[in-house]
Amino acid sequence: MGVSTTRYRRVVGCLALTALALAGCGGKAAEEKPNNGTATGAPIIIGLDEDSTGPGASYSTIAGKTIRLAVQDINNKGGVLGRPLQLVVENDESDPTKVPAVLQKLSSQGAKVLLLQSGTAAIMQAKSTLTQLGLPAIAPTGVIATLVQPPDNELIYMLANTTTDWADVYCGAFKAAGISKLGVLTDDTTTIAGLNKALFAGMSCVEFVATEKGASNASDLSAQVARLKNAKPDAVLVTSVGGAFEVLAHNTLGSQMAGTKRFSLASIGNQPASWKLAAPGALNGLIFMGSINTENPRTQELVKLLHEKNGKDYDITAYDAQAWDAVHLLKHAIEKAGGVDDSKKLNEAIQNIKKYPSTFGQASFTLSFGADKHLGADGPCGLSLVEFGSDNKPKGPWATFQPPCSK
Amino acid sequence: MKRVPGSIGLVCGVVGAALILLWVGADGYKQTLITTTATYALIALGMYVPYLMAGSLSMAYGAYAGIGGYAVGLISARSGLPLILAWVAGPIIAAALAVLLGLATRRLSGFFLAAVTLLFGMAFTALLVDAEGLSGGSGGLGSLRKLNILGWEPTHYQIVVGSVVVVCVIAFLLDRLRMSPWGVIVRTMRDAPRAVEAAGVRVPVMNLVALAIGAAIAAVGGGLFTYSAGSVTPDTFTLNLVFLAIFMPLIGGSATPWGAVLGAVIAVELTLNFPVIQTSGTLILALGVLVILLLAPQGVIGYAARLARLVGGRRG
Amino acid sequence: MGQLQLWLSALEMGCFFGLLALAYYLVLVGAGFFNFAIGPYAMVGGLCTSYLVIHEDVNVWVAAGVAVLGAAALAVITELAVVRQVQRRSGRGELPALVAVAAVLFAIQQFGGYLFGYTTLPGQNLLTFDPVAVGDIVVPPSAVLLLSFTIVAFAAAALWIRYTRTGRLLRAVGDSTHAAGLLGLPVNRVRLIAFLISGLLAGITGLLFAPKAGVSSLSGLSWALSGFLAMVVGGTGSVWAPLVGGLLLGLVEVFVPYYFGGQSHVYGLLLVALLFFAFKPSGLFVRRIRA
Repeated sequence: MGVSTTRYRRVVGCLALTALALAGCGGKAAEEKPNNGTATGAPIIIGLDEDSTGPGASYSTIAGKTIRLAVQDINNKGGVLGRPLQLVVENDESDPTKVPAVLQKLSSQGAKVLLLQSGTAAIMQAKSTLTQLGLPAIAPTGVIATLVQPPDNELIYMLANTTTDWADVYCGAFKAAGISKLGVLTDDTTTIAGLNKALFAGMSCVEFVATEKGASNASDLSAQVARLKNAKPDAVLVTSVGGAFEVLAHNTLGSQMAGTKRFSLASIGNQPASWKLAAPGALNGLIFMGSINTENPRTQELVKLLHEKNGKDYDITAYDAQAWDAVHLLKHAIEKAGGVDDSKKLNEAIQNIKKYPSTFGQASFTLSFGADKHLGADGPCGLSLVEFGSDNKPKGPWATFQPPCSK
Repeated sequence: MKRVPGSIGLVCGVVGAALILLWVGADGYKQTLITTTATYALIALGMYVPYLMAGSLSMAYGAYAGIGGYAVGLISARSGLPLILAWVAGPIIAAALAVLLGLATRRLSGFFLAAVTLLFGMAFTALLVDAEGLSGGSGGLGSLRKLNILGWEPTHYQIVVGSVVVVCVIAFLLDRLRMSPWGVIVRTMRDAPRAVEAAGVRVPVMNLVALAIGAAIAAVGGGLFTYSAGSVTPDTFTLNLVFLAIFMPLIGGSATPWGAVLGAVIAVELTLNFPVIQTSGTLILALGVLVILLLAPQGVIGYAARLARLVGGRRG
Repeated sequence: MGQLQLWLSALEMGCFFGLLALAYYLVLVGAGFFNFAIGPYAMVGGLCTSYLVIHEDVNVWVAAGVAVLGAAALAVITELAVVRQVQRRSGRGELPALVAVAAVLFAIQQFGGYLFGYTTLPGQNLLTFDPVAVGDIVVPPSAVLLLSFTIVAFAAAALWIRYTRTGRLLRAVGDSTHAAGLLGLPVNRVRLIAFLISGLLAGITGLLFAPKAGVSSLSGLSWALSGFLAMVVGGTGSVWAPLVGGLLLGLVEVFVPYYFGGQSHVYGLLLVALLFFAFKPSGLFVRRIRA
């Protein structure tokens, strides 16, 4: 039999398949890459660690796209110190064992400052590598307070309010709505385990009558919801990394515990793609920790730009705004430091950013950093409790309670 | 001249390692690539013992590597003991756990064993999150002390060299072990357990020993990664890594432990150092594995050996 | 109340696991091989349908047809281009084929993500009718379809294996590939049919289950594991064994967390597997070798 022919054909087939895959992926990446715009001179290289194919891809790519948009926008307007920003991108697939090599690779490609847009476990692993490299980094969409707490936190920064502020806001909300007994439905990821710990420690205002946990890739949560129902809470708080788990939780809660007030973290508001997963009306009345306020003039500008680039139906999320701000904070810091060659000076420049008006939160909300303040948010004004309407889309601020905010 | 068994592999391995170390030099990125490769290689070598020698596929290697990693983290953070003890304690604990798990699953083999050990690995991650007081919970352990061996503090480059040496030594020892009487018995056990049992060898005991050795080696790898990366979390050693470790010996060639090492080099090269931006490393690796399995079922080493035979004149 | 809802959930999960296990069973019986790529086939069935309906405005039935055929085509390619070649090259050992199929699993997941996006997409309903009321709960159309399909699929599989020539050949080839080859039975054709049918079955299963919790490109691995567990719990003694295994697993997944809460589903699954395998290492139903 023609063994050699079949083998030959197989080889060609395999190679063709591989080539196809690489050509396809390569082409896609090239198309998104920002160009130098009107800026000239030696490019300033920013490293982006983006999970674009792993478990964090569904949310990392939302921010990743806006990071590219922000870089392009800055370059079009003349760049930073007249020099263009240039992104080098690597993918860690949210695998912590790949993170040290990925960050080192970004550094070896000339990156002097990094943006970390990946799973929380991967960013946790990145902290010690940052210390080894001596490069400052921003995790634009991080909300877990432990990311910017010791150990190894000298060089990592986050923008948004973290769970500490969330606890105060939830407590205010529960008081306003007369809620004293809370049930919790949570997923089993380490990310959320860390978040829950920090969040619940600050919420002595309510009694936790039940805390139920489901697998993050669960297909069914009726057992957990049945237990919650038996505990008879006044309200249920869903804490999850979002996506399918979050929606499944609300589908199940909506049908089995209709009438019980539901609260959630920020992720559900940041993932428009997952709203479509919900059963009709399942998200109605759900209140989440939003940070997009359409009265903020900077938010309005970003919305305009996003609609221009991504089509009129594009729903802006906090991820977009935080990614946008992260790049602009870097621009600010690089200008202050007069370049990127001195990492120490750049790190100090980031710490010297005070009262930066942000693109998310209320109009008066600002970000400030310092040697001991690696978390940008100034006060709870970056947060806003937002209610979902019957069309499974956020309908606006919750009337009962909003975080107090000095104008 | 009397030839020491396994010397060919050792010579090739040492030459390869020396070339790699020369290539690395002072480049931080390349150094990290090497420590990652060494970690993968150690986990793959750990799996090699029970999986390719005794024929039992245990998927709990994420847990064993995790124990090695947490040993480093805990000794550094919670005790004043010399850090080097972590590489003694971690492997011993991992081996003990492997024996316990091996006892609980002694009647299982093949796919059944794979399923149960996989569930064990998942439960172990859950336990690390739950056992907050011991493991530091979801944040894991970080800020490790520097290694200090009798007053000598190795630099990062020395750690890189050291990890390469450890990998070579373990691969060489496993190669010797494979050809030793014990190795022959274990390999026969895979193909004909009844015959071995009839010859008076306690097959279950042999199996447990193989599992324990494998777990201990994986724990060394976990410790190495934790030390060079500087921290460990419950999610550090994922299921993905376990699958990678299954792929590696097949890529390199399953006939000798050096195949696992070569497989780790190729896997890291394909997933981390491949010049195509942003493409999924997993996809490239999966396609690479398929191509190798179809074209060179004996792995790269087997293919090279056949090529060498062809060049050196056909014999048999 | 409450309990009935839980039983429905357990039944739904059980049927899903059972159908995946049946797909495993067919390949195992026909080719003596655990095809872990079943999970990704099911993922393609669900995800491709949703993608075509949502992003390309294709009619749901057309989309479902394309997706299921795609899943079946993947199964055929797995057999022709990978499993058969690898087994021929590396002899009888199951390890190389197992590794190859794991590579196929990851490759399909990543290609799925590349083609259809990495976000979770909502499942599509083939039929829309009013939910059926049972006691104080309502059974959604997707569940009705899944349960009915389970019955049809298992009955058809049982009849096929018992009464058709190919079905009987399937077991003959699976029992002893070598002997079947010597007897001149069409070993390759039978194996191919086993893969084809299991691919079709997995594709339809994924499509019918997707409305429950959505489907993403990374669903394949966990589905593959669930189906595999259901298969080994049930054993290979009868065509119905996978269904029993699936239903048992469904009960564990729903009632263990109900009674014990917390992370008990992870520890519970391990404990059940350990206990189960300690006493019934080859599944509930063991096939008697026929004389």
